[in-house]
Amino acid sequence: MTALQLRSVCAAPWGTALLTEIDLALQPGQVLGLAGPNGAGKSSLLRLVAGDIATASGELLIGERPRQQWPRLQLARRLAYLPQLSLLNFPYTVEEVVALGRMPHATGRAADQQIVEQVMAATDVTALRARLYPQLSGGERQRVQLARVLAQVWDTADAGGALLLLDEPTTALDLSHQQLVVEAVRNLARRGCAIVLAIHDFNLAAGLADCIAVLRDGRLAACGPPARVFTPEMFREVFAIEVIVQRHPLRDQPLVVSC
Amino acid sequence: MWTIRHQRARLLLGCLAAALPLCMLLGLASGAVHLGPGEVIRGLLAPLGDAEPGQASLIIAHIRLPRVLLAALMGAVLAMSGATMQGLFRNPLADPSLIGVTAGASLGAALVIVMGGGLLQGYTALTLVSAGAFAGGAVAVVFVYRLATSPSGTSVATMLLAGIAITALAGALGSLLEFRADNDMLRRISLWKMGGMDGANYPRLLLGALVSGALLVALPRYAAPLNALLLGESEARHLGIDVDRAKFALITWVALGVGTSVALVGTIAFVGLVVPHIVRLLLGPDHRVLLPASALAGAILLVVADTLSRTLIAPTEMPVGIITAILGVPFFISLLRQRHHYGMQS
Repeated sequence: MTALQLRSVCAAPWGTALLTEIDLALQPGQVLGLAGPNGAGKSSLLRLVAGDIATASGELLIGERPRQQWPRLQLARRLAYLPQLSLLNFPYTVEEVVALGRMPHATGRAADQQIVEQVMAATDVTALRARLYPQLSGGERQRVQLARVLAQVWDTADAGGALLLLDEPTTALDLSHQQLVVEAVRNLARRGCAIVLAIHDFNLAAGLADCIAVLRDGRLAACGPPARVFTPEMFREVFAIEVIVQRHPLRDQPLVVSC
Repeated sequence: MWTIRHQRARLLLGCLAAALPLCMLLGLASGAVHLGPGEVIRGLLAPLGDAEPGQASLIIAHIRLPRVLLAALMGAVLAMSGATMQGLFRNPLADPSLIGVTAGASLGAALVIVMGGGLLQGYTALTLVSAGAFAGGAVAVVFVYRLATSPSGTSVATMLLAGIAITALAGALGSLLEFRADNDMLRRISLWKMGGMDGANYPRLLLGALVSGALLVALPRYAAPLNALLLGESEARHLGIDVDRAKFALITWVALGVGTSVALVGTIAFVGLVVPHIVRLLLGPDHRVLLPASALAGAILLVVADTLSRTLIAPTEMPVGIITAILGVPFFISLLRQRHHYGMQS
């Protein structure tokens, strides 16, 4: 079973083409990293899968079923999406925001509360639980929103078929909290959740993703395991930068250093 | 789970639920003729017994009871509609009149008053003016909704701007009518705009009760969608909410509620804007608590304001809109001054 499949998908919600001829497939438990310069279509691809923008042509299958054929609530139970920006400016407490992630589920208050506790621990926001969301710092808000989307698929991940979309989940985080996000993503992937994340930190991506898709001007420029995709030639061609790619001294992953 | 906020919510809901009947009894007792507590109870129970109705029971049954009940219902409707609009527009400063319903209703009422001229008297006039107000409000909302709706959905931001435009247009047309009106009409238009419960009778109360009953049942069922909508419309959609259906339903219910309240008791500003705001400062934005607490608080505010409007300069009545503002604004300002305790951004 594939968790997510795109077959020559194009999207042009406002006339100009945002995504052209995208082909991707993701198995349960796999992590796909989306890389590319600003405006290359990383967020558009995530929003397309999340359903915020429509496909103009091509096929978008989630769990081998066309996206638009999914009943709304069933899809919300297995697909969660963390956007880059949050508009929330009402004084919810942190715990209330995280608990909103359980809204599509009918698992009962006790089970919901247990999951809320687990995801708050996984994102290190337990200590903030009674704080008001608008009073948090940017990084704290990002962790709270991450906890909310983790709560949405936390139990469906075990059943298989869950899909988590994260748009730059680590941008506002300090290094130790970045590592925490990496751990949470790995944990979910181990339990069978497929994950797509847009990410600008190549070394974080190399350590986390099974597969990297590089986007340029709405097209797939490269797709494959990090060791194969992260080459000096690719960086020169797509990002117009010179880099040195070495082997990580401790782990089996490429290490990208800018010149 | 039962954090401080939940405990506070239970406490406040309990206090409000206990205070409302007390305020209503106070409203029944006060007026041009003051009645004691015993007389109020006997007056309320009189229709059940065989005894000849006394003066007290006549005053209660025919004048004060419909009035107090109407004030409670309309206060609840206005406050809950305000809470709904603030959630839907994700803006704590939104007001039920934002979607043009109040301005449209004012224009409709002014139109009937000016066109009907001196021909209209008594309850027929009141009924026709109410019908005109309701029709005007409905036309304005439909207009605003259509302006903001495109094939890709309804944009609440466009709706806000369209509401401002329609409100300005209705205001200009209303001024044009007032320009043509004579002194008597002008006085009636401006009194109507200030709002008041003085037209309360049982047929109007029945209409108000039907609409507000439906609203009090329907709106709390949208508490979860409203909670999700505060995150943003697409986030709500990703949580499995049918956002377009919720938006349409909520706007329809609010338009019906506010349209009815403007038709029955005129424009009463402030209740819909500030009551939900105060409740949110105290209890947080969870609509499962916010909607019922706003309804209770709005009912209390309007019952107390109406009681004061009848008693302060008795036997003359003060327009109730003046009282709601004078009562609520100081409380609101004191909350604003300590807003950091309640998590509001500066």
